[in-house]
Amino acid sequence: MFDIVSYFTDPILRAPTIGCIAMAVSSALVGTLLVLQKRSLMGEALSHAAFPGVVLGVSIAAPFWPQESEGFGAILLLCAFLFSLLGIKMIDMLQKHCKVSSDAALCFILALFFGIGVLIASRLQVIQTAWYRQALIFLYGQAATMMDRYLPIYCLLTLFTVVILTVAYPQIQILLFDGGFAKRSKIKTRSIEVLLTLLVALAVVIGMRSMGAVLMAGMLIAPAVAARPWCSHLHSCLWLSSVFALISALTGNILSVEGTRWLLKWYPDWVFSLPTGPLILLVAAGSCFFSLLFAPKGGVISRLFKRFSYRQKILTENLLKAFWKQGREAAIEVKELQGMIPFCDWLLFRMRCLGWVRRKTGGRYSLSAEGWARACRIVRLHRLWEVYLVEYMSQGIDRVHRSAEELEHVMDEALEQELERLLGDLTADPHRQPIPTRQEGGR
Amino acid sequence: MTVLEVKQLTVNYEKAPVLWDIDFEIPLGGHLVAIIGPNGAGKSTLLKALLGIVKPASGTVRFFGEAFETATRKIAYIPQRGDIDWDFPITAYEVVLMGGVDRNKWFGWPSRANREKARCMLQKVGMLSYADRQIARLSGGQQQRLFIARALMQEADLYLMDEPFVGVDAATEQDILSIFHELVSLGKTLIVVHHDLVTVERCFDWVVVLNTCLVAAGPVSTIFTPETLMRAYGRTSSLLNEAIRKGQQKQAGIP
Amino acid sequence: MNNPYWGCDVVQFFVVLMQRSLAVLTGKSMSLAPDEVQILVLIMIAISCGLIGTFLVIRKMTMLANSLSHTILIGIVAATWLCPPHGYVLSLPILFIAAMITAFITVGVTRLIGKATHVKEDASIGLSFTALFALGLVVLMIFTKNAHIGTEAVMGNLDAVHVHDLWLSGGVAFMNILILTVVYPVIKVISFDRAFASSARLPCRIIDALFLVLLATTSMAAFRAVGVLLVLAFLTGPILIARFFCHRLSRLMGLAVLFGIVVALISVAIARHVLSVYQVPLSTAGIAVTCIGVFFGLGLLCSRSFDFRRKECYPS
Repeated sequence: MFDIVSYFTDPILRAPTIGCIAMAVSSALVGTLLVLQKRSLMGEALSHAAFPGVVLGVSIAAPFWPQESEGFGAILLLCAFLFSLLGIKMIDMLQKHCKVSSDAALCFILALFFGIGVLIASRLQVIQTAWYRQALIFLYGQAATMMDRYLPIYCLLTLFTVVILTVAYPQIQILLFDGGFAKRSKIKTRSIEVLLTLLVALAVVIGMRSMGAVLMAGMLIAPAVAARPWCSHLHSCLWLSSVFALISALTGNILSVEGTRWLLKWYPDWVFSLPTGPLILLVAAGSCFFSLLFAPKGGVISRLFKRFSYRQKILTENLLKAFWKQGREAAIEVKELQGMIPFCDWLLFRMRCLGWVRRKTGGRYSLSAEGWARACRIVRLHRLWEVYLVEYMSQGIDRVHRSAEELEHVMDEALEQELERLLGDLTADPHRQPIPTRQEGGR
Repeated sequence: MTVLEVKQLTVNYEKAPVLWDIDFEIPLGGHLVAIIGPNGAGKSTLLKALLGIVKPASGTVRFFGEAFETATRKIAYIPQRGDIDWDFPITAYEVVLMGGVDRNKWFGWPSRANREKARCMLQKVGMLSYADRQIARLSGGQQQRLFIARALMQEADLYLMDEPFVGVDAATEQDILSIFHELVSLGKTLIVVHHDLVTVERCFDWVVVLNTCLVAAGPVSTIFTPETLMRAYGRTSSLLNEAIRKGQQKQAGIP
Repeated sequence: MNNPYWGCDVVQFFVVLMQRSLAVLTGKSMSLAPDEVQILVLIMIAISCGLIGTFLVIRKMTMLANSLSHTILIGIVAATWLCPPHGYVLSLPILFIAAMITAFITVGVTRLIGKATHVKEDASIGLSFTALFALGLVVLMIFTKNAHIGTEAVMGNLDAVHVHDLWLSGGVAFMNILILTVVYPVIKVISFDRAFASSARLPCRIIDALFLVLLATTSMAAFRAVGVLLVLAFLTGPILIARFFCHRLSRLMGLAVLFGIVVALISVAIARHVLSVYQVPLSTAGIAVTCIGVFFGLGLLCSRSFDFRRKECYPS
């Protein structure tokens, strides 16, 4: 087993771990805003646009600073940031002045800048192979070689992002929800948009060291997508996506180290360590998978479950109606019911547990008072719908029964009251059958 | 046999107006049919459901006694102008030529006869001089004429049109109507989603009144009365819409 | 050196090229020089990308092409590992099958996420291709025990192209020309007005699948020369430049191919020039993409001063 604390204290492990966590948190925060604005692929374009900045930065800084120094790292980040901003500006210009559609603008700038980066890198490959390899680190990312001295920069930049988002939170919320309203109100939309753009470029640049240019886009999207099904407010989205990102970063680092150790056990001639960036992203994607399946509000599994319960509700209510038709004191044999409604035995069992039916001698069932009240309610709703459809929506009398069969199961208090308000207090439906009163329906 | 027979059509498509239990027929013999109803009544949804663009939750639709897949040669569709990408690099002539695309013939390469016919149709709608112009540079009326020319190319027996008179000038409206009347006199049927109640009696001879459910369907002379209009426009179907929406959400498992 | 282009600068390069082309046209047979192989491969790529890229931009599917190009990288590495090539390059059938499998997996996962959940389209594209790429990267790194897989496929290496690459990219170019010419009217209708196309019972789904396969094959065939990501520049660049000059679909396609061919010629010439005059070897693919960028800038400047499309938009 491994010792999780060592990941924060061991001199080799702590820089990658903390650096990745800083990166993950900042990209989760910024990514949530991007995903909500439906601009998720902006991160993809920017990470590729930052690549020439990295290569140029290496070419400029390497002659003057030693490779592990803070100055080297700072120059690198600065160049990448500037190229990122340039990319954003050009994408904007393409969309506004050249009437290029947004996806073509992103793709073109992505490829163009990356090509320029490849061009400069090819020069670097020949004159200084060591610098070329340094630049290539930023392609797939290499968190494992991060050092302590870079941590202050990354943590500071992440903190900066958090502070800015906290301070500007109300305006950001309005801007995200209703841009038009924001423009008309006193909010300085232009400044907020510029600020958000800067934060995206910053997040991309922070993340490139660990995730790499190619995978950075995923880290902007995955925590946001994982958090969305659980949250109903913007701030809870931001919090939860940061938590997911933090867990992904930590787990990715652990997997990378422990996975390499495990591989070394089985393959003693194993040469390199598992890359951290892809593992972090895989964990983040796994958390998306988990959220999309199991989140209570929108998850696939919970939706399936709700569909099942709704179907069960429909069948139960149909069964109640069948009881109602036979009268208050009727005791019906199971065999008769089985012919009418499927899964009768299970439904009757459930209704017994709920106290809606009583079992009588000779395998017969009858409704309890509670069951009768519910049955009256369903029949009342059915007949009210029939009246509504005939009187209000001018449907033929012979057709309304089928429609009412479907609508009677969809009822909440508000709809019922509205229906009653429209129709008044009625006693008979279009088929001249009596409508149970409100009291009989137990309300 | 009827031109169109709709039975118990229910359309429950998310984010589009709902249709509930629609049932009507349109007989043979040329008719100019107007589909009217308040906003959100489902008029465009009805057209899309007839054409299979939107899948109905239940119900059947028969064109000339057949299902849509087999009757497709006899049907032409003109969508709403707002649904088209007007920046597409295509000229007026090419749009009309599209109407002659027949999947069975050599992947749709237009024959000489088709090219001649396209020019004829452009002439008919008065757009021959605009044949080589980009569609982005056409006015609203010209765009509408173009799409009618494309529909005419299809030589259908039934034409379905979604709000063709919205945003066109009076001259274009007159021209379009005269083309319509000519088609009707040849025995074709035109079903038009129409927004202007004032012109219904003057221009159309058959009407289908919708308000989520079917209010009435039949000849204008008998159906188009103040009582029918009161039932369609005076009552909102919002309660029904809400109930149907809730039912749809519960069936899909959305809380 | 047997290479007739050795030591040429730009002007000399084209002179030698013209002399050799004339010689070939007058019947004298000679073997292809490496530079000429590079030019021809790039031209084939430019033709394929110009044709497909036009439809990509018009149908707003470029980011899907971006996601495909990433997963195809994994597909290529996997195919190379599972079926090691006997010659220089993967055979066309294996390439084709690998392209189809990766394309359908990528699009399948993207559509699945988009349909089964409430995730929006752009987020589902971004999520699926990065997740698939990360998965492929980790799996392949473990099985091939190589930490730098795919870097060559990302960057491309035009200097390593061989005559076999010419057959491959030529075959793909021919396939693109053939298929897109044959289905041109149908794909035009489907791209312009999908509702009309489906109501006229045109084979929309089949054409979509065919288009996807063509896109995947084009990306795969170009990876050795320019790398999978730079293919995107050839896919989107020339058509965006062509849009400054005309607005008709057939002319756009032709101009996009033309610009691509010009870029191919110029970039190999410049690479040779820089190597001969300054003794600096640069990535030809990088030069090609930079040329596309420069041409785009020139096209933008030209269109500001002179409206080329006036004739098309307001014919007399």
